[in-house]
Order: sequence, then structure tokens, then C-alpha cells
Amino acid sequence: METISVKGWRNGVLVVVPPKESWGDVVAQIEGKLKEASDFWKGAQTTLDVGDRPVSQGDLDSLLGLMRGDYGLVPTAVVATEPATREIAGKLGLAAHEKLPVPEKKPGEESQRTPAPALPLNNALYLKQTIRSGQRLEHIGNLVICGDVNAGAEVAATGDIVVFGTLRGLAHAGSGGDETARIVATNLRPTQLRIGTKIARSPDQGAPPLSKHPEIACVENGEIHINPL
Amino acid sequence: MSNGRVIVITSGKGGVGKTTTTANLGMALAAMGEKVALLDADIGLRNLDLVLGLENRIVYDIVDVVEERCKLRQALIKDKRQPDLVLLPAAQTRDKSAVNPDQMRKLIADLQEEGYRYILIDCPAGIEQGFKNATAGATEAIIVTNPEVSSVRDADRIVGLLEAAELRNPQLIVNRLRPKMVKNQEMMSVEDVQEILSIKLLGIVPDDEMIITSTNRGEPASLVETSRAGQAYRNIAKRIKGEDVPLMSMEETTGFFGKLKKLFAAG
Amino acid sequence: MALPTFLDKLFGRQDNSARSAAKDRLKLVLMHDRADIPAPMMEQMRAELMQVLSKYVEIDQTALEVSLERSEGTVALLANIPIKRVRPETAEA
Repeated sequence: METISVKGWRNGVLVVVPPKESWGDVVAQIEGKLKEASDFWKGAQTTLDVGDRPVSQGDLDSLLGLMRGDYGLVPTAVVATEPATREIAGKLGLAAHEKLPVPEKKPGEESQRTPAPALPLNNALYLKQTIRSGQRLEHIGNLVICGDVNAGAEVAATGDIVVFGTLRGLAHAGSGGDETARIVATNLRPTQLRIGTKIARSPDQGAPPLSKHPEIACVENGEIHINPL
Repeated sequence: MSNGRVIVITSGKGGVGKTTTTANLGMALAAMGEKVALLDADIGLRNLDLVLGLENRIVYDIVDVVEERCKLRQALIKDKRQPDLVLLPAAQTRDKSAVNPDQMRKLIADLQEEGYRYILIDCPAGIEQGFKNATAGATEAIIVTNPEVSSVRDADRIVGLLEAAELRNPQLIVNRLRPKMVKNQEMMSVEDVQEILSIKLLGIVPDDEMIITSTNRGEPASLVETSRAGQAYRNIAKRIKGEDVPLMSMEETTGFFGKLKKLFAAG
Repeated sequence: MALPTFLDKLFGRQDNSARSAAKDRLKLVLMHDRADIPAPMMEQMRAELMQVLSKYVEIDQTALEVSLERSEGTVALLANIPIKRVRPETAEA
């Protein structure tokens, strides 16, 4: 069975609808995914990619209503190859695209750890929340988090990662392979840092003393180095 | 199975010391020269890495292996103290449904192929999917319980479920025993627990504050020569290997507490 | 009054310790847990019971009742089986 994918991308959240499922299953699956993350997506700008399936105005309207009303998503655009579907999207006040404005990934490549395609990194996702253990956040572009990233949480971005708070979990900057990416945190005490393909882990004996200054991690001479900002 | 031993460590109730037991037994078996793989089946709530002090080394996890994003060998984390001990960590950002019993059996077969003679599986609390996954590939079971009513009741339920899963003759570890409380008739004794559960006793682990400090440090207590719990775990590991080690004497413990009591009485 | 309690009283033994309370409560609750028969199994047991009994007696199938009854200290399987008539002896036996 093909499944719905709900993920972060450069313009917020991208919901991709698989081509063969019935519309009823699609709605149920989307609701399931959103429920899993509960209010994680609240306020996120959302693009809905329906592919080449035709969607009626009633179906689209009720799905958008579900996303808005129950989970606080802000649908902004629809991607559809069918001109009729795009027209309906336009009527409902959304932007309509024939295809995603980024190189699209094949379903097989959507595994969690596959690096996203490199892009011009001028897009930032700003999040004001704590990322907790078990949550994983992926973003194409730069990622700014106002809050803590707790141990057991994972954040990944193809660009830089900036945390205004304590970074205790795992952060992966330049997840598309960019080793010029940087990780900045006001309090940098991660379990593990990754930049591009480089990995650094916290020292085995004892947590580092609480730093009084924000710190920055970047790759120097093929290794991840941490310096005061 | 002639390939070696596959032992699931389970309890039903959470918080009785499954993960601590898994870490300590694995460490002790490896210290005796056995090739040991520890498998954290608690997907979504992983902790075995933390107890072993290996949390900062995780790059791939069990779900990455199952979903073929990496080779099994890449996901195995070699212990920093025991070269013969490896950990296959659970995924933290997924849930129990990310792995199914067939995939679990395949993983275990692959670990055996890699030459691991002892595979210890840290089972999640509960009796749902996670329990079914964790017990799927096991051929033996160890039940950890505390000498208090709710964990013994859950242990009894687990004995029944293990039987239904064709895992017969589970062995019992009574964890966090406080001999002084037993002596004062304030806590059930090992005999009480055993009488109720009527399964073979594998060992008794006394309540030991050192478990907390060693967990905080990521250094299992079985590495600590002076820890009584550590000694108990080392003894249990020997019994798992088939050595005939007498149960740790309660006399000694009561003697110790007795002496303490006298000391206070005198003072 | 359960026999052990009675004996304790008789011999003036007052075992109110937390240890024995734990043990007694556990034993009781486990007796319930272990005797808890899931509905499908109960139904199957009922059907098989009927099959066996029908060899010897004619049963009023609609009025057959099988249940578990718990009373202080024991769990019993109770079957209420109205018999219409005893079958004449057959060669089967």
C-alpha cells in the first residue's frame, strides 16, 4: 500500500497524496498522520500535492477544512497536473502549481535519512517550540528553532541550523551533503552533531560545562569543530 | 538452536529493571569472553544505549536495518569497554509498528550469522506489539520482577503469554530485593515470589544505590567490583552459561544490616 | 471465614505484616486472573461439554448455563444442565 507522506519542506509542510488510493483512504491517512504529530504542525503553511488525480471541489474543500479546522494547518498551495483540479484550487483561494517548484523526489527516495537534493539555501523555517524526544524534524533550507532540542530529538536541515535555546539532541546540518553548513546554539550540548557526511559525538566522560556563550559548529580541515560564536 | 542463545528479557510491568538487567548481563557475559549482541526492542522509547553510555554513537538503528537503509554491521555499536559486546539500538523517532515479528526473526538470524553467541533482547513494557516483536525470535526468556504485588502480578501474566508463544520454562530474576525489609516482614521474600510464580529462579539482585549512580554514568554496575548488584549480575551471567553458582547469601546481607543495626543501637 | 484466618485466630497469631498482606492479596488476585476464561474459550468449552454429555443424556440445550463463580478463596466452574432424559445404553460404551 502506498502511503501519504507529510513532511517539512522549504515552504512549510508538504503533503503528498499517492496516486492509487481511494479518496476516502487518503483523507483517513492524512488525518492519521496529523493525529500522530497532534499539534506539531500547527500554523504550518501547507502545500498539498495530489499528483495527476482529479479531485472534486467538494472533496478538496472538505480535506482543506479538516487540515485547517482540526489540526491548525494553513493550506496555501495545491500541486496538480490536472488543469481542472488546479482551477478548483484557484477557486478555493489557493495557489496552484503544475509541479512542485523543487526537484521532486521519487517515492523510493523518501526514506528518512536520504539527503534532500541541494537547493539554493535561501529558505528558512522558523519554529517557536521545543522539539522533544522522539520527534524528528526535516527541512529543506535553513532551520531556526526558538526553543530547546531535547535529548532523543532529531533535527535535520539541508542548510544551517540555529537554535535559540539548548541543543541536547541530534542536529544534522547540510543534510544534503553541504559541508559548509553550520550549527549554532545558545547552549550547545548535543548528543551528536552531523554536518554533511561528518559526525561528531559528545565526549564520553561527563557533559561539557555549561557554556556561557553561544557556540558554532562547522567543518574545519575535514572535522567538526566547535568554537565560541 | 545450535547457533547460540537468544534470550528475551521481559517483565510486563515497566520500571522493574529490564534494561538495567539486559545491560549488566550483556556486559558480564562479554567479560567472560562471549560474543554478545544486545538488541533494544523498545522502539520509540529507547534507553539501553543510555544505560550503556553509548547514546552519542548511534548513527543507524534497528529500523534503518529493517528498512534496508544500512547494513546490519553498520548499525551495531561496539561497546567502548568490551570489544565482544555490541548494541543494536532501537529507533527513537518511530513506533513499535515499524518492525514486525518476521523482520525480528531475520535480524536475529543475521546476528547469529555474524557470530554472536548470546543475543539478549530488551523487551518493552506491556503485552502488545512490542512484546510480540521482542519475543518473536527468542528461544529463552528471563522474567524480571520486583518483590511487590503489581510487578509479580504482571510477571504471572507474562508467564502465561510466553507459554502461549511457545517460550516454555522462563527463568526468574527477583530484582531490587531489600533483605532488611524482608526480615522485618515488610516485603515479600524471594521464596514468597517464587511460591506464587512457581518458575525457576535464576537469581536475586539486591536493591543497590550504585545502580542509580552507574546508570547515571552509563557504566553498568557489573563492571563495578564492589557493587552487590553488580556481583549478583555477574553470578547470574555465570548461571546462564551453565555454571553452578550458589545464590548470593542473604545471611551475609542480613548480617551486614544486622551489624549496622547493632552499631546504631550501640551508638 | 477462611481456614487459615481461623487458625491464626485460634492460635492467637496476628500476622498483619505488609509481607503477608502482599502475599495474600496477590494470591487472591492471581487466582482471579488465572481463572479468567476468555469468551470464545468459554463458548468452546460449553459446546464440548454438551457434546460429551449428549452421549449419555439428552440435554435441554437452550437452558444450559456454564459460568465461573468466585467466592471467598475459590473459583469454581458452575454448569447448570437440565436433563430431559437419560439415553438408553448404547453399544458405544
